[in-house]
Amino acid sequence: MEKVLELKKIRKTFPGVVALQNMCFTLKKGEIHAIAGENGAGKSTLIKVMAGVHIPDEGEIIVKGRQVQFTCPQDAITAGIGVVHQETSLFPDLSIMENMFIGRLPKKGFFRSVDFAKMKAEAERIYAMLDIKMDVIKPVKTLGIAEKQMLEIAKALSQNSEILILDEPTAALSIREVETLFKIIEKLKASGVSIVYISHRLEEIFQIADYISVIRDGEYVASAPVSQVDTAQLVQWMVGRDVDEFYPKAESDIGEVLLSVSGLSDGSLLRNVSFEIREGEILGFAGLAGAGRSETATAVVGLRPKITGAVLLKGKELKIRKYLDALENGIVYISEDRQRNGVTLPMSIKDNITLAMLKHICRFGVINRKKDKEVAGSYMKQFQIAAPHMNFVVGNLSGGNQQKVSVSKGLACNPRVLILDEPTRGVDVGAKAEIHDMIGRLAASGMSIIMISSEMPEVLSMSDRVVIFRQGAVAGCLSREEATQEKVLALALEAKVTEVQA
Amino acid sequence: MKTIMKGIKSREGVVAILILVIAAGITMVNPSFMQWSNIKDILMNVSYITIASLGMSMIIITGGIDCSSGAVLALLSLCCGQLAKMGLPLPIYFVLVVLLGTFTGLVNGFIIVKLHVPPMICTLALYNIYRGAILLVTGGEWITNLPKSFNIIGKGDLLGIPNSVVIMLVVVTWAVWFMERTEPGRNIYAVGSNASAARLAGIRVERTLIGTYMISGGLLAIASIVFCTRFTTIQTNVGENLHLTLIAAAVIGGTSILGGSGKLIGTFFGAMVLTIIRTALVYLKISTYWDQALQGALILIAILVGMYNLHRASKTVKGGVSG
Amino acid sequence: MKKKRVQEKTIRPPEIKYTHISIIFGLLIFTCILMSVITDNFFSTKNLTGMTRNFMETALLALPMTFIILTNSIDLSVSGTVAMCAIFLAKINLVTGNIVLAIAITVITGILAGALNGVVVGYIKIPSFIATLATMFMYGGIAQGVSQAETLTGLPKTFYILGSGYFLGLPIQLWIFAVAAILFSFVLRRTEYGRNLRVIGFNPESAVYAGINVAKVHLINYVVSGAMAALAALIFVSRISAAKSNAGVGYETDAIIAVVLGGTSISGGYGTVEGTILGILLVGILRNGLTLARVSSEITTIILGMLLLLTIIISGNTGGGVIKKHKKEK
Repeated sequence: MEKVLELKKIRKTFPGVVALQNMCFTLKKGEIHAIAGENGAGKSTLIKVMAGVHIPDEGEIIVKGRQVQFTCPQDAITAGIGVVHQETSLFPDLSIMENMFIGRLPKKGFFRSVDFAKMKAEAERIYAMLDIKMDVIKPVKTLGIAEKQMLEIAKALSQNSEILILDEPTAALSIREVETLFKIIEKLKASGVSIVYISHRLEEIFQIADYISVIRDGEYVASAPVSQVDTAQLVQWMVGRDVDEFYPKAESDIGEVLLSVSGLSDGSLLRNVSFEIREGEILGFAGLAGAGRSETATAVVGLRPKITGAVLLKGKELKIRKYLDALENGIVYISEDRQRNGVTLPMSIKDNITLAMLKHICRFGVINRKKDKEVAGSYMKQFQIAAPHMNFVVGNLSGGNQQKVSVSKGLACNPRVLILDEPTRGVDVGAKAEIHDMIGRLAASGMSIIMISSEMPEVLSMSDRVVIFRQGAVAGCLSREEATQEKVLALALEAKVTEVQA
Repeated sequence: MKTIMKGIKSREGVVAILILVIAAGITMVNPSFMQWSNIKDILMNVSYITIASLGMSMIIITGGIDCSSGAVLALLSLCCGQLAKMGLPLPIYFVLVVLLGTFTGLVNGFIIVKLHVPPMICTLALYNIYRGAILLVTGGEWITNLPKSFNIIGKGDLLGIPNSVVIMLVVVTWAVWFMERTEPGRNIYAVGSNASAARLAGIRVERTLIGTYMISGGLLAIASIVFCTRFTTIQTNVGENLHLTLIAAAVIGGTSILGGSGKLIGTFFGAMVLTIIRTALVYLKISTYWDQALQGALILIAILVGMYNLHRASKTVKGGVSG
Repeated sequence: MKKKRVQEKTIRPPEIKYTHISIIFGLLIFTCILMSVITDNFFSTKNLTGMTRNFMETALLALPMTFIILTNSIDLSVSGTVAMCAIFLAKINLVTGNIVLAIAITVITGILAGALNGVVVGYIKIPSFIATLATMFMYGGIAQGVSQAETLTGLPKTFYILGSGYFLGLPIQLWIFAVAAILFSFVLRRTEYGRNLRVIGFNPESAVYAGINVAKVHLINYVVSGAMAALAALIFVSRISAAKSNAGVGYETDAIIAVVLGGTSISGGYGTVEGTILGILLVGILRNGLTLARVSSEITTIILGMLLLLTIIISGNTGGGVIKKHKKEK
């Protein structure tokens, strides 16, 4: 098969970091080539190099045997490379068809005005090809997430791309939409389009890809036909060593019911969500992305408006209107999006840790500086946060250490109920083990912990019970003994076990 | 019929109806309001505001703002007068002033885009610099003894329609066509809507932004010419608080202060509303010293209404996803 | 790196830009020297007193402006509030003859004006630059409408002490400013509120996730700003013994210039009250000194405008203007 895209010895640095080095990649015609790697391995940078967003410092890019130099995204598009970006890169105020063609709108006549008729016809043709029925003059701000994702793909296709880069295309899609997407991908492949496929979900890679390349810490590690590798091999390439997929089971004495939530609805996604948690218990929240796990947690703590629903702590109903009300009652939520709202990057470790509990070390609003340092110092020590001192800026820490700061910030509030949203996302293996260890210890000390996680092994091995969410409602609740990967998945997917396997 | 209903329901339609309602209301109180001479007067007043506010609208659509327009208008008017006084023929100084206006736009754009200074601060600083420079150069003296031919644009007419109104209509038509029907125009909306996505789509974001400021400067120059050619002297302090009027016209006409949306025809109607209200103050015998307070309040109300609509729209989208 | 023991004392909090402060400090000293060279009587007591009196109103406004800019907002309306308060003070005094009542209503007016800004910016979430631009003209316009652009006088003699009296040999308004500055500095350095300001400036979303009521902080900031504007109006009227509807014109620009020169990042988070004080001194000395040196005030305006631009360009921490704003979008 003919090589359509080749990257040789690519090196890309940002001020202070080497994002990619010695990166090699080869894509053949009509191939679906998956790229795997942990968070921060450099996948996004690699894609941006292919898409002409980043200009590499060194190395060659060869498209269909011709060496090219991309100076802007337009160059890559001209060379036939289309990208479906992870963060949706759409214009909410423009129509669907304009979103598809912006940057290269068709023009007509002497005044070179935009040819809306031609654009509409073309957009409708592409939507028909993808079996999507929608009015292409609708503004994009009226679309849902999945519809936007489809539009992104349609946009890439409209560029007559011979190479299509899909960056985490299934992250926000439902299972049915994923199936539709895969059909489209197969169809594209059959018509000779080469596809670079990036996903965290290994099962998807095994289902759809022909070939897989693994990168780690910005460097190329290995590549092989998908048929010749298994999960263990891939994981080993990705983390650089063998890992035990099973986490230590935390033993703790489970006591009385501490927090119970009933009939929680928010008028848009959540429908009648109810659950309860006991002292010393770890309650896992499982479900697909967008099933309402984080939404439930944020609604409980008052970070998201709710319409109905009662939150009872030790049988006493709490009136939680804003997050501060939850904090004062000892319910703490630690966000999944660490960089955005978990920690404040330009501030020091100390100021971050004591941020949410500052009220307790204040007198008439004046901070007790001695206590401020004591609290921060104790957590820095307890979690072994790797930094030279507590006035070190959090933005300069690694992901794992940032996560430790984020957790410390929550724990400093002295919670009775701790809600951890994706606590190990984007942290390295070592920090992950430390965080698991810490969750176990906290539960053993009698704290109630709700853990939201998309990693099935993590949920299954850590939790005493698992609540499974589906489309904004609780689909079921399984005890540790009952919970197996198949059962949890079946509940999450609203399918019988046999169907899932099919 | 359906499209007519849709048109009426749109923001621009609402503003257009508002104009008629206000006009009707004033006519009831004082029937002389509907005289042709008065309407002509309103249209002549609205012409330069409309032309300048189209540029302001474009800038607001990109997510920026321009607080220097008043000073620039004064600067360009003075240049226009000075050039005319030097005996240059109209086409020449027209072109020169437009070039100068475009250049002031380039300065704005360069500082905002290339040097990353927030638009608000940049134009505030430039406002002070231009005002200072004007006083420094002229010593606060007005330009007088302008040649007769100077007033051709401002006072002349074409088949009974004032020249300035003709120019306004041409400029409005061009601007609407430019923003709705040409690629650079659509790119301006795209950049205002989502700048990083625009970059990914291959739009030259910086060039588009600087270009917008330059076009806006050019429009401001045309506005200056239309404005200053109505007078026989040009004062150094003209255009005070002009940016307020321009922003008011844009936001009343439905341009979102958050960038990305708004139609220029709405801006035209917005300018009309403002001018009619101003004239109304005179007809209703209210002191014009209240004019400024009224404009400030109108901007605030227009933004609040815009925010309310946005809020309502985003609610329906969320509902749609869950369904 | 990890093992290295670093002395606690030598570590500086990361929120303050020391290089910027030292440059401004150098610039300040340079300006002072320059002024004493090009003018004869710059350091005379009379000049220094006069300078202080002329500039204290802006200085008082710059303090709350620091807090507001720290939270990545701006308050352009202060000049309008000053004008409105000044006119209300004189008008109510004229109508009722009761100066105490007039002062009370003036202060309430300032607070309400600030509260409206705070609600619009904090709770309704309208970008502060446009909201306060609108209210700036609204308030200024009300001043113009009420006074019909006439100069109002007739205040009791005792009231003029505020603007022209001395306490321990120094102008009274300097004492007022000193107390206010110490208070603002203390709040920013040592209180929960001060730390919340920074968090909101750096990342409003993480502030929400730390249980901070962001809208309330904005509201308090603007209310304080309004109250300080009322205070500035009292001093202004007392100093010039009359109220005009153009009182306070340009105050907001000078206050912003002082804050930005003082090292507060226009995109929020970084900055100190001490820096702002340096900024105030620099702007005040430039305005006054250049006048003394018979440089026309237009040139001073040009210089200050350029200084504002240059500071932002050189300090580099600007938040990327238009482009960054859109990155925040989901």
